[in-house]
Amino acid sequence: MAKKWNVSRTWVFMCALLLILLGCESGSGYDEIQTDDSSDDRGAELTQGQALYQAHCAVCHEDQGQANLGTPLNQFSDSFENLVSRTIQTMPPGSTEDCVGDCAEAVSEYIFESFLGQDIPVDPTDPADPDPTDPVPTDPTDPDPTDPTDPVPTDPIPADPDDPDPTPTDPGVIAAYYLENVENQVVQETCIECHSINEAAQSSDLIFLAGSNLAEENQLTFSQYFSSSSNRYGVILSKVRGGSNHGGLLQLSCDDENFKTLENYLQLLAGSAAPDDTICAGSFWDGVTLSSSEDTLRRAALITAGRLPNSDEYAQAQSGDAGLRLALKGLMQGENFHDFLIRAANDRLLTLAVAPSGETNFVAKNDTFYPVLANSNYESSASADPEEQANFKRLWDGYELGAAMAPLELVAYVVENERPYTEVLTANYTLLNPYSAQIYNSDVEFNDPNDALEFKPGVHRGQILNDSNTVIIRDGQPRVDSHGGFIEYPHAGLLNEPSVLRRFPSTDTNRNRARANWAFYEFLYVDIEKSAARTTDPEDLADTDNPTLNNPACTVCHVVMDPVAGAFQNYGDTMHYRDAKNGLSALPSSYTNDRESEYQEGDIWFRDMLAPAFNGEITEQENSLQVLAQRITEDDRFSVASVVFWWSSIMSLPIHEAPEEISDASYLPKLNAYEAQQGDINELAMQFSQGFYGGTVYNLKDLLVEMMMSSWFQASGTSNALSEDRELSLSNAGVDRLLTPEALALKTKALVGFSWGESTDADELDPTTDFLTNKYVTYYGGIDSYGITERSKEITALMSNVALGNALQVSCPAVVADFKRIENERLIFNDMDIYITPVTQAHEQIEILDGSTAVSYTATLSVGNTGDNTLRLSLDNPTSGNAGRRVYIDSFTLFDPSGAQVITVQGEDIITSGGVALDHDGGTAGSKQSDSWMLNSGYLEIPVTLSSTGNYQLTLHAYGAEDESIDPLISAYINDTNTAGTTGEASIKQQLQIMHNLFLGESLSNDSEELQDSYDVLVALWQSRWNAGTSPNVEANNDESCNAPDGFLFSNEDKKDPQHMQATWARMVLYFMTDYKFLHE
Amino acid sequence: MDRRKFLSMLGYASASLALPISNMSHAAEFVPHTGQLFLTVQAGGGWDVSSFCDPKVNTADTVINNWAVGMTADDLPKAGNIPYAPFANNAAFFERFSKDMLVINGVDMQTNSHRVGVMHAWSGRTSVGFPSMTALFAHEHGSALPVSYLNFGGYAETAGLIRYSRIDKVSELRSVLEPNVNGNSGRFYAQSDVNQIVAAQQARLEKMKASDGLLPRQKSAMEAYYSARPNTVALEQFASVIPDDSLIENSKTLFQAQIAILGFKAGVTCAADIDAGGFDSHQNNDNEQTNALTNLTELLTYIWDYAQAQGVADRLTIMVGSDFARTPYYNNSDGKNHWPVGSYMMMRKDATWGNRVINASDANQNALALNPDTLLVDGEEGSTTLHPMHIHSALRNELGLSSSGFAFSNSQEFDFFNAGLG
Repeated sequence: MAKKWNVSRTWVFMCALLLILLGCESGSGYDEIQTDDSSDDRGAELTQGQALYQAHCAVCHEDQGQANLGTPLNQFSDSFENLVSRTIQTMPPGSTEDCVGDCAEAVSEYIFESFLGQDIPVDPTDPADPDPTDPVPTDPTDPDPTDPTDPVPTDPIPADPDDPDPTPTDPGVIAAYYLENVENQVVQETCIECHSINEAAQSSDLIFLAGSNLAEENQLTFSQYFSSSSNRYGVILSKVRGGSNHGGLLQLSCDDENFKTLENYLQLLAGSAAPDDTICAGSFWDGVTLSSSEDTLRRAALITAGRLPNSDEYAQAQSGDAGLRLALKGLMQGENFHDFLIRAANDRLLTLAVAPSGETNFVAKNDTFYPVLANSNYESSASADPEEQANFKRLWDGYELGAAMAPLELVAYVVENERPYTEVLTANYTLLNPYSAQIYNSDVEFNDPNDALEFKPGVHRGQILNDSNTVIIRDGQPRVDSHGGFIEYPHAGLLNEPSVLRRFPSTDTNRNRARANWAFYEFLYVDIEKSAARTTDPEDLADTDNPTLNNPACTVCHVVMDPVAGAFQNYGDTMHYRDAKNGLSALPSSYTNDRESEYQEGDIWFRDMLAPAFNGEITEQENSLQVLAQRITEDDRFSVASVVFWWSSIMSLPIHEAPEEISDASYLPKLNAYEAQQGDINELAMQFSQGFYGGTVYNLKDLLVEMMMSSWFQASGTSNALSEDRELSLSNAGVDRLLTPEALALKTKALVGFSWGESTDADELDPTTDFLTNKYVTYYGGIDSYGITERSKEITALMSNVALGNALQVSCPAVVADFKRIENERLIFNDMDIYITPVTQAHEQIEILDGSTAVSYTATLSVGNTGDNTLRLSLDNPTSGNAGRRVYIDSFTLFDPSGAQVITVQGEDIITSGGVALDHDGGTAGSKQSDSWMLNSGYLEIPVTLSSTGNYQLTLHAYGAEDESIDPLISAYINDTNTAGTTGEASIKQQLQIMHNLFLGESLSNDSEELQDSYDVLVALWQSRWNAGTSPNVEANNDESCNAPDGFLFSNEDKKDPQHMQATWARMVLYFMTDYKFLHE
Repeated sequence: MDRRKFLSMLGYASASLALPISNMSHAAEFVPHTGQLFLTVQAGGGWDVSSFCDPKVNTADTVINNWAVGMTADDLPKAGNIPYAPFANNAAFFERFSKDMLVINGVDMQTNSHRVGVMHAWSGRTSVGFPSMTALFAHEHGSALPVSYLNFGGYAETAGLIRYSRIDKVSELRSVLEPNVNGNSGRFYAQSDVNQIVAAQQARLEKMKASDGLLPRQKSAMEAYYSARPNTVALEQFASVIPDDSLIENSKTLFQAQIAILGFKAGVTCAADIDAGGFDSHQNNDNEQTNALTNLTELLTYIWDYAQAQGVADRLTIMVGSDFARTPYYNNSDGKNHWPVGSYMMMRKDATWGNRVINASDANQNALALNPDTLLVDGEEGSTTLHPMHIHSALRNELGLSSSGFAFSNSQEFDFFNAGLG
């Protein structure tokens, strides 16, 4: 018998089909009986009941009510009155008005007397009094003992292998509990909205009666449904939590009191076989730790504002939750936040696909619905003037860009100005750029009429109708010679933005259904395809008799979808308003010209579809979409849909889908996650619609703040090991989301001052581009808004190569550019100079003035380590050629802190004194002079043994020869013989701490292992140059490139690298920019 | 004194021993894939199989196909054992490939929704949660390959088994495959430096992965990055087989096929989905399907020619299918709407199971029940309507894939790949 229940959709269809086949639509068949006033006679009524039954019911319920399909009527155990009532309210499926009154009574009498062998009570208000000798089983769930093929277990209660003889609870107790706790609180309050006739779940196996005093009937229905299969306990509790393909999604969560009530009721029904309470897990966030306010602010800033927070913002965030909220909201301004809004909106609306650089077309340049466009095209094509042609191209492209961005700019405009978010649908304006304003005859004034990215609110008055007033001349390119008035476009927010209509087009047979489907999902969070299980019955699927209107298997969705499709009635398959030939409608000619269609002159919508409606009929004709938009925003589901719309932009992952197959091993943990998330979404939605913390209603900035305050955003770890199920449940929660290509580009720019491949071309509509957001956007997991519409969530080998490419080409110029900046204006290296190496004990740079006679210079070198060291004099800024920059070193002397001389060397004696004069290629640096050493590259170095710490004084006698008007610079060093314990190490580690924080968001202590690891990497990279005699330049050979980015200029001086530290720091920036934590936030 | 000796004297040489991490040596670790290869060709939108591999002539009541006016079933052409529709210039395709082809007709896709149809066609069930056949194949045959699963925009549910890669512009592909190549010969950094840095990062990431208290999302993301990185040599190998720009296909679908086959050749890819759209012909069905089916047969022909030229044809299996089919009648716009009963086509070079058509639909394109024991429509007890899960189940067996964790609910197995049946 379980099999019979499982085919209920077929049953519904078959009944409906029978009605159709027999011509029993309204006005036939049943009506004949209803109007037969002579049916008082019991025999006549029975005859009529039999006739009706055989004609309309037996196809499903079979001759003796045994029900091949549908409810087994020969086991009906309730009262005659309730059978009449159920017949009225449920039969025939899909057109219950066809059998009421006498019809229902006649059929019920026939069933009661013929199948159940019971007399009908004289007073139908008396309870039925079945004959105790009646052999018909009173338990409707008992199988038919005469049916040997019935495979269903005799006991419908969930099987418990440990309990061979489950004891059912007293039916009276169950009924009482139901009446007291379930009927009103659960069924009438929640279930009835869909699980009743003519509602969304009318094709389901569970149909209740709506109204009061129906507890008995509904309890019977519920208990029969429960008993019809052995897995109902889990299925029911799953479905109310949104699982198992529940069209109504989440209705009751585990924390809901009514959920517990329902669970208790099902346990009563199951009796002693009731399963343990394994349906609900513990608290979803048990053991999950949250990120600090600083970390939360940093992530939020990088995601929404494309930058790092400043110290004031950090301080505000650390002052408590209220401060963090303020700091988060404070991020929501400026150009990067605007771009974030545009990107996030486009991820859902995908209209950038119709931008000039997009994957599909928006508008033909000779589109005569837009006379300004078409006539400009005509004039430009007729002109030989290249400038005029270029101007038209700019107009056309600018318009396409403006139109593609208009819905996104509308969203941004509403959000940035903190207008009620409902305005994204109800705005009676659009956002225009100078080009779309021109095409739309809008009188908006712009700061820069050539700036395609300047958007201002305005209205669209640029379209005409294709009616008798329109005269188009076609001599070459079409030209609109004359036309009627421009229509006042009935703006309905983004719903009828031309680019939205173009991006989600319709067809003659689709009839705006795809648009309705889209509107339901994006703005009501209703997935119509999931709202009722789609029929899999081949006969339903092959039904050709306008099934969307007539076949219950289809109408279950179409009754919801088609009226909303009707609200789009004024828009044609592409995007124009009332584009039919007469300009009176948008109906396709395949319908209006079809002789068999029901079309009548003056129609604006299909007669064989449901009329426009949403939460009530929509009678307005010209602006039906405005009415729809208004009603959508008044619907509670709009705020839920808004949370869902923005969820992915903040969390970087889509919301959980409800699991569908209860047999899947992952079902329960996924259901737990779904339920927890839906609960939080609903809570956010409720507050969004009412105003967070007393704030304004529908303030999207506040919603984004609260989303970032949620555990879904802030979860950063667990305090205990997770079970396999919890691993699944928490799979979409918390930190370490892969940055999008756009976010990575902004993060890169925020940290180093420019993006990879960033360039500006004022002649382009969008003047600024960079590699991550353009050239490599889809390679790095971004979307093209057309074929690729979902962002990659995890990195692949190819994507990691793109990230590597970003770092390879950015890191070196980032370092050179930063060291080029004056101190305190550097982005990364404010406390570091390029002369500090891992072996540096002390360093000071001396400018040697151009001259011909040695003068005395002094430097103070602060030494922290005693023992064997070296004294090094290095030329920092050599130039090539005979006239290159050089220093003539007459002598130098080092004094210890007490003033005692440590060493003194005559320049010409450097070699014989035990020192070296080394160029970076291993050759000799400079040359010996008669009374000095001429140094034009490289360095002089000599071992020194230091016996005390403190300030050493170096006295240098020298003179210089400038080049390019720049004097030579000498760095004086005390260098250690190893890389540990030096002041260089301390300085470098301090810089590395800064970089760990800047690039990776890590706060490392001085003695942390991670810091030491990074220092070791730096030392190894530095030594590989230092030891190899690499040329002292960041571009030492063909295997090194350090090109200045757009807007920067690197001189040869800038690329000089006497201590190899610029190159080493460049590699460390490469190291940080390809770190896991740089790419994930 | 040369510099090295001097440094040695000063003790710098010992400092260099502080080199913390060895250079990566992934060159030796990359083992090109030489095993089986798998492609799906996803005819997106719903193909009209009545004008292709399940040809239908018109009935007394209905014009199913305009091309069939005046024809009877006896007039339908046949290539080997495979009847086909004389439509969209497909004779050459069927004549050439019939021996390499298994057609399974009368498959009930159980939906007329694109979203559900696509999911059903390529994952084998109408509920979310199962991986595509391609994802399953890539997971089991090449999970360690750097680009094991290529997807170009079609259905690609991975169910967490594996990650797919996308390639869409060849002009950028080379620099993606070889990010450290600057121009024709130079580099941005010495590769040894890059290797040193990557090795250090891998060591750091390994420590991070071993941390206590990570959330599943963190673990998964760390693992993804960790496994994505050591592929320099493999990706350079891929780059080495990419031909000159002038030899790159302009057609979007042919480009997908070309790149997939080059990935096969380089041994970095073992499975791919080719997204061949254009089949949703609600208006002007004959024109739309002519274009789409012509493109499809050209694509399949190209795949086999190019795979042969690149030396991978012998290892390749192709699964061709669609969301569902089109109605066996025209609508008012000369189009055809969605129809649930469609077909699959399997291809392999010189397949032992080729040159066969299994199952059928009736004259009105309704599904017929198939006997699992004989693969004949013989009305015997146990015959059942084919659903995608039956095709997936059989193909999984044929390709040696496990169904662990993703078992279908089918009670009957159909051994479509047993040449002795049907």
